[in-house]
Amino acid sequence: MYQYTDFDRRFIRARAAQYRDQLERHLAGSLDDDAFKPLRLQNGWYIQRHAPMLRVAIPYGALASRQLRALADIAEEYDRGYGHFTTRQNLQYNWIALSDSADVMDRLAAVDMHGIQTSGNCVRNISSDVFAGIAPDEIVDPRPFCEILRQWSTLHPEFAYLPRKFKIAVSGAREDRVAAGWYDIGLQALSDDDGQIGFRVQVGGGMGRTPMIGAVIRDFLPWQQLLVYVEAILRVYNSYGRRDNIWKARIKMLVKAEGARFTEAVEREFADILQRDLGGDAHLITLHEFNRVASQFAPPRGVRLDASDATAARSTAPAHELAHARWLQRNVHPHRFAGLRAVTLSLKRAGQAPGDVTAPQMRAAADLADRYSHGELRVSHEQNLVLPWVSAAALHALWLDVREAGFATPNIGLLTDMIACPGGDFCSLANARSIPIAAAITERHTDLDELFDIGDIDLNISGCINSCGHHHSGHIGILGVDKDGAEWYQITVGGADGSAVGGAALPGKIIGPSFAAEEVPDVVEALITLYLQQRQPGELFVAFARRVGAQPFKTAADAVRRATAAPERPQVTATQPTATADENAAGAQPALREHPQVRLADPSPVAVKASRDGPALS
Amino acid sequence: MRFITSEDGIPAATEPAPGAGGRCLFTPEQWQTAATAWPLHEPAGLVLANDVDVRTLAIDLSRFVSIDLQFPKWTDGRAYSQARLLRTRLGYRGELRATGDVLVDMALPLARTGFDTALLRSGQSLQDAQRALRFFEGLLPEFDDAPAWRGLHPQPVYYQGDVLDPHPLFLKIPSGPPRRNEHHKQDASRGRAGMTLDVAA
Repeated sequence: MYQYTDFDRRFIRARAAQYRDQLERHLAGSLDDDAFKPLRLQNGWYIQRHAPMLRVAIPYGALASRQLRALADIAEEYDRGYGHFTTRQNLQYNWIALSDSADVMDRLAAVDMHGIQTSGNCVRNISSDVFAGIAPDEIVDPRPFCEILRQWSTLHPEFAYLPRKFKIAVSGAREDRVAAGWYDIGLQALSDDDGQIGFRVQVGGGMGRTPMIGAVIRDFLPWQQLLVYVEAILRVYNSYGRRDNIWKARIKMLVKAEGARFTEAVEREFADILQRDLGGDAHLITLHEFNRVASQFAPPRGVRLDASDATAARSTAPAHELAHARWLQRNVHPHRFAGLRAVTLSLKRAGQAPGDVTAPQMRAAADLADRYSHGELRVSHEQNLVLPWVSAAALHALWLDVREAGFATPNIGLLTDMIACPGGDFCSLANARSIPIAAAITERHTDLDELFDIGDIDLNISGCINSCGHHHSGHIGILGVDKDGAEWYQITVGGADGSAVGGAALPGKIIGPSFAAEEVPDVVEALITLYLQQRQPGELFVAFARRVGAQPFKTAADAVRRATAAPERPQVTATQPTATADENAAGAQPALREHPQVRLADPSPVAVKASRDGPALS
Repeated sequence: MRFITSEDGIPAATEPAPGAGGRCLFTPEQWQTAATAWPLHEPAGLVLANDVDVRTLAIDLSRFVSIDLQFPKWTDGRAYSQARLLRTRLGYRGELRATGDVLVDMALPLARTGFDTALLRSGQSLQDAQRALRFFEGLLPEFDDAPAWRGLHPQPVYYQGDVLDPHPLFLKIPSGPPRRNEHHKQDASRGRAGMTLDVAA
């Protein structure tokens, strides 16, 4: 994994010192709440329901065992002994006192970690494929590009105060495991006929109130031009993205409103940077720089890249043990190198919220990484941990240890491997709780035979329309909504994140008015039962949902309504969350107009007389 | 970077008139009518709203000794892009001033996008502003031995280029063969599809 340079280390220490200065001025009263808020946000500090929430950046999900141990120590010393892995491969703490926050930043910096740009209206921490660098279907390792983008976007002086948050994902494999279509910018690596590497550039995907799949604005961008092209996108967005209404401020709204004009504006700006700007070509990525960064991602020392799979065959001998066979089937993944495997440590089991991990579990996972994976782990989009460098010959021994540590639930990709945000138990944005819903569904579906029969399915739960639990892309999506202070849940079917199982990225369809909390497990069961009864051989849930449409699901769900079955039941639909917390505090009243404030201007040569295309469209 | 506190008095846009002393500030619309009659030697300043696309300005910017860019709210970052474009694309060399809701903690992005002057909103400390500029100094100690910097503050260094120095860190690091360990050589030599970049190295 990436090895920090001396500069990287000095840089995050300088950033930690800068934050300490800001915190001290805040605590001393010379930096008021409004002025401090964006500064702390850009270091990962939200104010949440119980205490500040800290989001620690785990760049593209790569984590060393020593870092995970440090995270465990911080959890015990400053938090209540646990953390929460997010869908964007980061870790969140929920109970750290603000007065301790500068100390925690120093502790993170000591192990090459930070919270830089994990929140705020800036370019966020970049996410990637959990199997980056080891996937058999990889075209190019995306991590060097992620790291080059990370460095470029870190404390970028022009793009620190964008209209809204900005998320980038990079995929280097044939299968999209990063949900590229759902990102502000989704980059898909490609190889052209001459073997040259480039990226398909998708812009304007996003969840929230208006789920959208990004538009492809460039089919093939040579890798050298990546930073310049992203700069062009961000400059157009920074200049023309809406700032009058937080619900319309993401780049997806600009892309939707402007269509082809957006693409033209980006291409024109891109050409202008290279042709007209002083030093405009300075950010073309050189081969030297690519190789310098790529060399930091060499496989760990001592890993046997040449081990044959024959060893692997022997190691799978005890596969007659059903539990072991199931684990091999669901939790062990093919690897780029024949004698190696990637192994998922399941964090999804009864009695534990999805993505939550306790300090002892962190240490146990770190020990497993040291013993079996050369000290390296990955955090997955699905909120699990992955050991990327496991020898096939060691799988059985690993399984015994993983079982001992409680990570062996063979449910990866199955119903109980659900994605969920922390929800109303922790998050001050949430309209409803996620964790009890996840727990109720998990408790109902503990029978592995049944889970295996249902097969691959993504069940995603968000506590509010901000969609941190990615409900839009769930094959079954559950969204918490608020009506008159009560918790309700809107359910969708047929969504997809873009990975192979679900096909093209797509938002799910709503199956009627919202349900009461206690109805949700029954509804999920009814949807599953419908699928099991009517599926065709080999048909996955999501394919079935696409084939039959929302209506049969609606009927099945209505049949199990109880609290919401009365004629005068509240007709709850997704409403915008109330603007109470950091994410929403900048929100203005919803504007009625659907047009952007300012029209994209057609730049003319500077010296030529032309009228200025000022504010338009009211 | 120069900081001006509100106590120093912020010159406001007034009715433009030559010879009135000081500097007259014009909006682009005002300048359109005033430009031809305005004496070349008379200092004039331009004031731009932050929704002006500076790339479309059909104005000779060399006529202005200053351009004021505006931050209606300090978290509205449009003026950073305007400043960057005025400097690196449009070649504006006069004074760039940040006005409006300007806080000390904006010092770094302001300086790095080409502003020379910040008119701070009330209640801001000059000392804090000066300190805010210096957190990223001395990160590349080898740079600070260069004669150009001797006796000055150590040079702050960032990953990406900016208006002050368009070169990103990767063009500043002394070139030479990248460090590669044995495993990586093995890795590259396996020659899987898409390893063009490695092979080319």
